[in-house]
Amino acid sequence: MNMPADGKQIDFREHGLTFFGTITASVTHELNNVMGIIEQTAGLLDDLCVGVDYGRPIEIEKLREISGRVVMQVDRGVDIIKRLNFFAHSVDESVREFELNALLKNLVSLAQRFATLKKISLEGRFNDFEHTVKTNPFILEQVVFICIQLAITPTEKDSRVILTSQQESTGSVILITGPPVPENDETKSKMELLRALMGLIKGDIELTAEDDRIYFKLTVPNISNEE
Amino acid sequence: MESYKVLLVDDEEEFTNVLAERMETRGMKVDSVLTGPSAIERVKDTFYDAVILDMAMPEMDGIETMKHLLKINPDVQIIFLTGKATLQKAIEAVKLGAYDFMEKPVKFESLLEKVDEAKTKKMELKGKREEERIKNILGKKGW
Repeated sequence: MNMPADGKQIDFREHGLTFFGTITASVTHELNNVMGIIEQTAGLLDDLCVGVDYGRPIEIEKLREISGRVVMQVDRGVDIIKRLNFFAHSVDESVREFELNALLKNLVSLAQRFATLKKISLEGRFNDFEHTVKTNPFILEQVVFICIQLAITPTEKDSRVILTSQQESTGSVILITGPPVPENDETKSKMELLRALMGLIKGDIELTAEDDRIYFKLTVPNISNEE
Repeated sequence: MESYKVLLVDDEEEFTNVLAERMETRGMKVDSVLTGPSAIERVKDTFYDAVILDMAMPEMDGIETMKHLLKINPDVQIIFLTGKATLQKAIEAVKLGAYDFMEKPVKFESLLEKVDEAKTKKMELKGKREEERIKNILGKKGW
């Protein structure tokens, strides 16, 4: 538990579980879609076989096309499972050394459906430079995901959310930029949670607005043992 | 199942493609759209026996789309087919007027049964409406 300035307690464990549930529900929804397509495609093959029983020949090209569709969905499913597996391992140890861009790329993929549903394009732009950080990966994922959630507010203006990372003398920096965030109680409470979570990993968060865009700057010390 | 007319609404294009292909081999007439607003446009000028509707979609979710569709045509039968099923959502959908709620992956034959039942219900509603209209006319004429 943590006590911020307004006296309300933040239950980090509960928030962590909610976050885990949100991601898992979204990923399993996507997997259900994949399974749904595979099931119907297999059914289509079966329909063609029934057609043969009634004297309708099967075209080889059609079979190739159907097989290609199945392979494409299997590849998609494998990719989704890999992403979920990567994410699930972020709770293995409270503090560990990891490659920051790999974690961010995975998170951008996991958050993609949330952005799509709000008609927002979410993009990760990462350089080849390796940013190794030692911190709590699960807390960092929560922080970045909340920033993405705030940034994917539907707007008529520039609806792109871009996530980048860079190395600075103070540590690794994650920049998230997107359309303006509405000023309401939900935003306030999320900002409070962000500050508290960043405090746990001894990191820093700055929020600035410029030219109808908002900028989250998260600084993670290269070695940050959780308090 | 000839003479059945179905609208598929799902942002998973590959899913609507394969489902439409299977339904068409059974003689059904199928239209597919990827968003709620496109479904609303289709229902304005076409009478469908059933609309198979996804729950989570960009632009407009399934529940909101259903409300618009029922406003345009109160007889249209809506079957939710979603990968994001919860009991709470299913109850909400049915309370608001959905014919039924199914979860992906779905058995094709079960889906066809639901479409068949939905068409029967639509015909019953249409029959009742017609009966009431005739009664009203006869009443006005004092017969």
